[in-house]
Amino acid sequence: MESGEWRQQVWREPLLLEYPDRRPEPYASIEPAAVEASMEKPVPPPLKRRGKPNIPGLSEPEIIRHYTRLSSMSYGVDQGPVPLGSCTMKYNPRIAFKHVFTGRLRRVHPLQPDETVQGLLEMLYQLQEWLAHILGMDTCILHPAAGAHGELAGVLTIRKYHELAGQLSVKREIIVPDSAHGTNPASASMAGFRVVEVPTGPDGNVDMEALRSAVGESTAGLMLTNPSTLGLFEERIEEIAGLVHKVGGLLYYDGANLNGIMGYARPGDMGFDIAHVNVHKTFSSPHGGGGPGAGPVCFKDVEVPGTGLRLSDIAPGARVVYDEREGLYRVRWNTRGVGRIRMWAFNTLPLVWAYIYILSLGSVGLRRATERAVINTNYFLSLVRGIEGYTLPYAPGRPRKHEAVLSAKPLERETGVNAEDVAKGLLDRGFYAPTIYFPLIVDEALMVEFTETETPENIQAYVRALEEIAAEARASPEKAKSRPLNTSVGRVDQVYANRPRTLTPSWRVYLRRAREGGG
Amino acid sequence: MIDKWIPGGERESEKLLEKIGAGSVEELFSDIPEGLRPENWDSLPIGRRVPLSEQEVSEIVEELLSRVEAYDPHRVFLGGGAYSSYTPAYVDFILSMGEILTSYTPYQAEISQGLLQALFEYQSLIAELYDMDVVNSSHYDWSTAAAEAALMSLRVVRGRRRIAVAGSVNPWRLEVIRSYVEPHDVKIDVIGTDTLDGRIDQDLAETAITGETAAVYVEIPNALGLVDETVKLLADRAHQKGALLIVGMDPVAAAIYAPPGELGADIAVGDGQVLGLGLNYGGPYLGIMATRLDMKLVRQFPGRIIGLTRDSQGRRAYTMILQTREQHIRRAKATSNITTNESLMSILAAAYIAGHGRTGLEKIAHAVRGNTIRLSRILERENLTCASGEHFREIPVRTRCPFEQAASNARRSHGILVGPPLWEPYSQHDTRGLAAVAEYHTGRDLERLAEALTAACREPR
Repeated sequence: MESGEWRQQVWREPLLLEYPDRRPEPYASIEPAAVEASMEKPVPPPLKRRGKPNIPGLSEPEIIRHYTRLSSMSYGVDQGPVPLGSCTMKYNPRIAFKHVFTGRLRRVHPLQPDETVQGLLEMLYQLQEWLAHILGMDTCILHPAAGAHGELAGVLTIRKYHELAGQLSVKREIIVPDSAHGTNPASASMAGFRVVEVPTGPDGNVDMEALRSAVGESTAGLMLTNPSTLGLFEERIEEIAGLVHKVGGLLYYDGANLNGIMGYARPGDMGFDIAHVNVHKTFSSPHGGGGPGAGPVCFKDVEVPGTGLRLSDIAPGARVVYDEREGLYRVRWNTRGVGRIRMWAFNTLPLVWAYIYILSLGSVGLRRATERAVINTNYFLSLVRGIEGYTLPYAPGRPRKHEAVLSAKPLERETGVNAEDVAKGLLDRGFYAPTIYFPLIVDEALMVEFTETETPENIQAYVRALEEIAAEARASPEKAKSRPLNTSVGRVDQVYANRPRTLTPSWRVYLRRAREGGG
Repeated sequence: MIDKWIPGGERESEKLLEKIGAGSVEELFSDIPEGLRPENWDSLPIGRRVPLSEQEVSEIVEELLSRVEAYDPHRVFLGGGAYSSYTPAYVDFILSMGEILTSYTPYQAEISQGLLQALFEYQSLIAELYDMDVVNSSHYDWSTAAAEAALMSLRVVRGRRRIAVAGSVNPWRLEVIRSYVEPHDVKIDVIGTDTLDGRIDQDLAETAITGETAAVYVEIPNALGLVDETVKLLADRAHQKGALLIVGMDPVAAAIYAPPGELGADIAVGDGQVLGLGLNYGGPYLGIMATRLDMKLVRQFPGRIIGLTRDSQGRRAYTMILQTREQHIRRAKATSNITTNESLMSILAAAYIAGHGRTGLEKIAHAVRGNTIRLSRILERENLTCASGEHFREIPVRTRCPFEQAASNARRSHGILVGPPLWEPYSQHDTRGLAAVAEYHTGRDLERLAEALTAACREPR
């Protein structure tokens, strides 16, 4: 696609709160006697709401138009490539949507007795089994609501493990590579651990020297994603696992990058004790602009010293078990460990989506998905190599897996056009940008992950766009830095957005400031 | 399915390998040590091992779903933290819009203005409803929002290590709070309550809230459905002692009862599930989290926030703000590890709110309250309750046989779902449980529940 051909729609669409109030009647069928019963016995004055909220009611056509306009100013996988590295934005199959979001599952209460939801529990039970096979682990729990929530479940389990083993006063540290997702150190902190970062070596692997000196008595565990955020497989993973296990630590696998290895390696075989997966990445459930997701977490049957308990027994939440005597699937809450970390057992709908996805592909199909994802990454690299302005730091000769991290540093040095400008240039050509400025160990990082569902033509076009942007950066850097021009708004003012005096986190804050004449 | 989701399938893969100059796909995985390769991957029991057609998948899933019972909404009185409400068709239509459904966290603001505006609207509508200023674009559910609020209070009120929690809060939510704060050497002081309706004991509250208390957490209505007027006193006590007040509130109740802001809350939490989002067998729901515009609070606030700003030409624009609080920037020092949240649900909740407006929401709230009143009268008449005071949505029920038996028979013989059973110290020898009403329940529906509960105790276990 040539620059300028694509244009996003521009609607000057008011906020819902700026519409006139049509005072619509509820959509539910409400018996007048119900409302009357409340009116006859007014809310006692001390409990009554005093202020009236500014919430206008819209008519149905207004609402549908509003969201249709907003949707035309949004961009998802349905429009084109969203090659956000480590986010695995693959196509979200509609067959799953149909069964998950439009059927009876929407009407099933989480406290319904197990015998009334056997078909659902059977799906979740099978999903647990399938995930265990995919990861090479023993027991899976579907409780966490997101990847980071799965991490929290995992590190809380590590904590409980050391606590029950009487070692918690010593085991205070979690080791995390400097290339790790930000959630890893953040999760470790939330579980009360100190975070120790180890650097990445020039070959893109963990710096073994640094790791050896970081691992010690106080090591509670290590969190790692493999392939790394550079898209490189950590070749010495078994050695790393050996080091950590030797001091009594546990290994945690961040499954965000699982799409790069299905069929070729399993965290369980690499020596990991705990692993989470993101069903909204690897298993195709949609991201919905930020969520919902689900983050099942799986365990090796490691025994907690001196307790007769396994890791999965002390993990948070519930799992589905099959009771052979009764011939029933049952939700069983863990009562001897961390305790629940969300209200109900499962973030059910994304999990059922994952069930349908894995059922559709099977082991053979998942392997092929990984293969094409990796082929797409390397096809992209084969095209982008040689375009001046971008380099591939860390072991440029090694094949990448699910993603690759380019550096726009040469372009920035030469023209002043940086990774953010490149990203905006991509938007102007009708593409979503890659993840930028991450991982932190790459200057001017562009982290690209196409996934297996992207077409070769789009990958070619994406590379052409990168080439055009580099050319424009040289010919007219000012123009390159002024982008985007084809999106519904121009470059957003981040300083204004974040300055305390102009910070506007809600419409009422905006109105209050307007009244006071500030901002 | 395989060729449908992987454009061109194996044939295209072969062509691409040739273009890359790789002899085989194996070459791209050559850095994975031989010993780590699963030998028998293709025959592992994952799915049906081989790809299936869409129709095969559909038939399998339909068979499984046929063994999931969805009850007639008019006969659902099950509560305990998840409630039935009517979902307008337009809400489900918005759910299906691909540009929103299949989008990611709006890291690139300029191309995501629609999504950002939708999230900003959600924040702004909740700010109105809760009478708070700053709302994040969601947490997982009410329980995790409450837990993060507790963690936040420890960072705001430095040096204090106690959280006081009303004994009448939902016990599962309390368990989640415990799981979250446990690693941080925090003591939870549970404030004693009346064992009939969970009303907070003011003397016990005075003892529990001290100069060591970082925050006080209370829910409206409480887990027994009581809208407890003593909350106001609790708020005063919390602030006197320099602690933060965290109020958990049903967002529908906030349309007619004093919302968190009017009660003086520093942090407000809740669940948007009651805003027509469905029961979903426990998720996804919508964790609501809000605070006041006080930078001391806002800097410690977890989760994503969308703000209003301007673009290079001065036009109105939206973007993610205060990202330096978040894990992708601040890593180990972030205010939370949360990234994936429940954004889609927050957009649906906003659409639900806007489709009803203030007056529509008030009407729904009055219908729920009115049905609670009507049900309590019927239950009183049938000698099935011992609740008094202001209740919203949920009330305790007393049965003449163990509540679990009554509920189980009501389901089997009458197709009615009711519960859950009450827990200690409220269960009164296992004869008490909860019944929750919806805005759409009719007088006849409510009578049917009372009849079933009476009949259920005459039937065998």
